[in-house]
Amino acid sequence: MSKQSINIQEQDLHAYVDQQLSPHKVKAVEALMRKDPQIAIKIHQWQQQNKLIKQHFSDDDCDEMPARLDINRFNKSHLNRSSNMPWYYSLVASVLLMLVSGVIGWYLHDLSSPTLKPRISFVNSAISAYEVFSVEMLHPVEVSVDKKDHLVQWLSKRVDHPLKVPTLEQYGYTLLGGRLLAMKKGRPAAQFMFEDNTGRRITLLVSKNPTYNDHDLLFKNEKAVNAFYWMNSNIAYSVSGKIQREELQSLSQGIYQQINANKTQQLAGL
Amino acid sequence: MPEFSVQLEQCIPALRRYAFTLFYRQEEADDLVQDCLERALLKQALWQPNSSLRAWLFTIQHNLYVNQLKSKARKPELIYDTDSLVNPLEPHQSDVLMRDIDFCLRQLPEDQRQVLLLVTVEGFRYKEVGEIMDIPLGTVMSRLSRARNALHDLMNGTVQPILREVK
Repeated sequence: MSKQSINIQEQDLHAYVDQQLSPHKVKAVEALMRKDPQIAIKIHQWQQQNKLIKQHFSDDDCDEMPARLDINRFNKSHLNRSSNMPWYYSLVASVLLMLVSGVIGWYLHDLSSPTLKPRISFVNSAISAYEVFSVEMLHPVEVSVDKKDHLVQWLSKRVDHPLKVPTLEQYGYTLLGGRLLAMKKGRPAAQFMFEDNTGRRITLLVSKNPTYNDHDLLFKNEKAVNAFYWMNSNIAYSVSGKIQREELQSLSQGIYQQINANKTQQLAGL
Repeated sequence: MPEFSVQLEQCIPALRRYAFTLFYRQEEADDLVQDCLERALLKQALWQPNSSLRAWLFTIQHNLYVNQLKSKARKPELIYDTDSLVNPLEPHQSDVLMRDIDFCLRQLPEDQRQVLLLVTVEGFRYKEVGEIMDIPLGTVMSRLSRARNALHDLMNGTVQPILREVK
């Protein structure tokens, strides 16, 4: 034991596990492991950890490389910056480019189906979901308001967005609870249901979709159901109910403002 | 010596892999990587060709991340499902029902997880980790040690993860 001329410390054990230990200490650590089973176990555990972690990250391939990380695309613009061109050339060029793409974008805005289609499909789903569940007497919701925290966490996780449930007491509506729904293509959506003291119900449907473009509050009517809907940073919201358009509008505005309470933007177009 | 951009390109998967563990959201991770690549291209004259480009890039990315944290105030909250608890990994190798490694890593304090992953996954020397994160070697070692002990306890269920029961 006293033969141990090299003093081994905990950091040497880590270095051994990570193969960063200088060769003359490796032998000393191995000798120590033979002598002290506790140390041998600890080292074995750490080696197992390393193995699991490495395995996990080698299996866990990232998504396909997005185009914005293709350096060949932005390499050129950066190289140009350091070229002999006067700096204002590139400035003028980018302003022109912005103007041109802005103009093109403006004309394409409503023609491009990827932006138009999902919003119509979204509000239609919201209205159908309202019709199916708002008439339920026994099971209007899956998780009731007495487990509100639980409900919000669960649905936030499934929708993959931190959800805020608005309080609508000042409009005479109280939260009943919520449920998880599947949109087309299986995308999860959260439905929250509110009721007033006469039994009228409204629902708030929230779903995430990368193709949702931002836009202002829109209105849709389907038979007796009115719905307002908007999209914000890839999240779509719809407030649906069999109530007057004016009342639903002020409710929707209230909900919008509560959800965006930390943002300064105002509800445009109303 | 391959061209700078060729070498740079080879480092992107590692930068993304590590950035992902800072946010656990691909979108935000890729934002960070993009910033890092842009910065690296702008500042490429500052890189010394005989030093490790990977370590240099990780340093840039780490600094960008720290600055972003300062300006953001709060980070995205992670919410887990108890399902992830009952995901035994290699149960035949151990009598103990091991918790999912990914779940347990996420439970580690961020500074410990960063050091552990830079060492184990990215294979950096302790000294390089200190340079990337701008911390002394002693801090690297103590974080590594705490990370390994905490991970062991989490994996073996001696410590309850910070977890709220959700349906």
